[in-house]
Amino acid sequence: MSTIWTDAFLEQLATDAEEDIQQAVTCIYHRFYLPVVAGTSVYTLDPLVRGIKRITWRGRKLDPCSWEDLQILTPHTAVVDNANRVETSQSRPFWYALHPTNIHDIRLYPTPNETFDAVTGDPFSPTPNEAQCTISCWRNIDITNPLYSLPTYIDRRTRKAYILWKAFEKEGKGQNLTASKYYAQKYKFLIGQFNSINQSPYVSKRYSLDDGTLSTLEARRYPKPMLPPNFERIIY
Amino acid sequence: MTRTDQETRLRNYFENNDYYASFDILNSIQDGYDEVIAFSGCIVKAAVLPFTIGLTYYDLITLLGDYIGVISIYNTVTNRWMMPTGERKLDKLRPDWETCYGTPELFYPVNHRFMAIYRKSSAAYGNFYIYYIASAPTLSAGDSIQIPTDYVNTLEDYCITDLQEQAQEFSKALVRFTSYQENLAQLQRWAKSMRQPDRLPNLRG
Repeated sequence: MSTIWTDAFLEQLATDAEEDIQQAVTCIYHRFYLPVVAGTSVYTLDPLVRGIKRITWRGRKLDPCSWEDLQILTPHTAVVDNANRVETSQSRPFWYALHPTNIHDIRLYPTPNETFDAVTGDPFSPTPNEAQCTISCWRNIDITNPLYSLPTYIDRRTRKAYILWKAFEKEGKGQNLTASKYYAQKYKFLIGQFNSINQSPYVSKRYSLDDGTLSTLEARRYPKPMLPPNFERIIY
Repeated sequence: MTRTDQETRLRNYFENNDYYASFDILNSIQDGYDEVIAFSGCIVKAAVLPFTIGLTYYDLITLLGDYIGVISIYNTVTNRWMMPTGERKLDKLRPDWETCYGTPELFYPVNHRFMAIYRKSSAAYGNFYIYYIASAPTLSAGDSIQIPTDYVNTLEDYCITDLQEQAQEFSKALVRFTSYQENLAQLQRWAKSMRQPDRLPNLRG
């Protein structure tokens, strides 16, 4: 009996499945130290980083801002590369933005005035005022490392559904569109279920129950002046 | 109901029950059990874990093995429940909350694996009790299936779907799969909100 699908084709689909799952569910959390050089504000992140969740400088959060906001913040600085840049303010960074020199570039502002080696320490156990720039992010799946793999209760069956969906769709011998449609439906169901686990539905109850400790902070507003009722009214 | 009982029920369903080897049926039962338990949250457990010095982000899958989602955490040193919270609230509390030492009071589940605590201990501190949703164990022949008996059809639907898939009976499998989705939704509803109809409606999650 001849083979319908080659191993190479199935392996290709397994890789595609991984990519599709990570697009559908942002689920692999990762933290790492970014090596920083004083006087350099633009850094290229690893392409494995899918989305930045939080950046801290010496343990304190940097505020994310858009590229447009950064232009307003720094009307007098611009970076193209190391040879072509206008950078004047150096200090502790307070903001970061995605930078239009590379899809994986970020820019810290003000430009860092310290150099961090990113070698010592554990990003999951940050210490106060630690001389590091820590990035929390969502990253790609890596099946060679259990820390970056999907949990076992979802991994195999979801992959299998995706592979069979695409394999039965393939042109030529073995094409079965009924089967393909069936596995597509199954795959979407599994992804939906994993999404709800990953978003911790059990903890979402906190919104209705409230924690009783932080609600006053949430409700805090800057003071607003109360104007008198006859403000701007002219009485002749 | 045990795994053997479930196998018997499946053999009763298929007219020619020699068509499927015992190996296939048992694999199907285990697969279905893993999935139904993970998606419904039917197995809840409690464990004692130590507060690790300086650790903010706990990798609960590494620590507990069968961890799926957290329910509650109790600090045994202060004898207080720790409160669930989110990253935005922690950021408002302190921009450097990840590095703060002190009494652990809040916890923030990051994803299916990590949970952060605020504040963390700077010296040997003590333990916490963690109540969590667990994944299914590997079944042996006499092990009882921890799904309520009135929802056992959910697992059966999964197994029949899976076995019919193997026989490439996709139209039949689709019918069973629809039934499986409906039964699973009912089981989820029961596990999350129907077990205590006596409670106040405004506390429903």
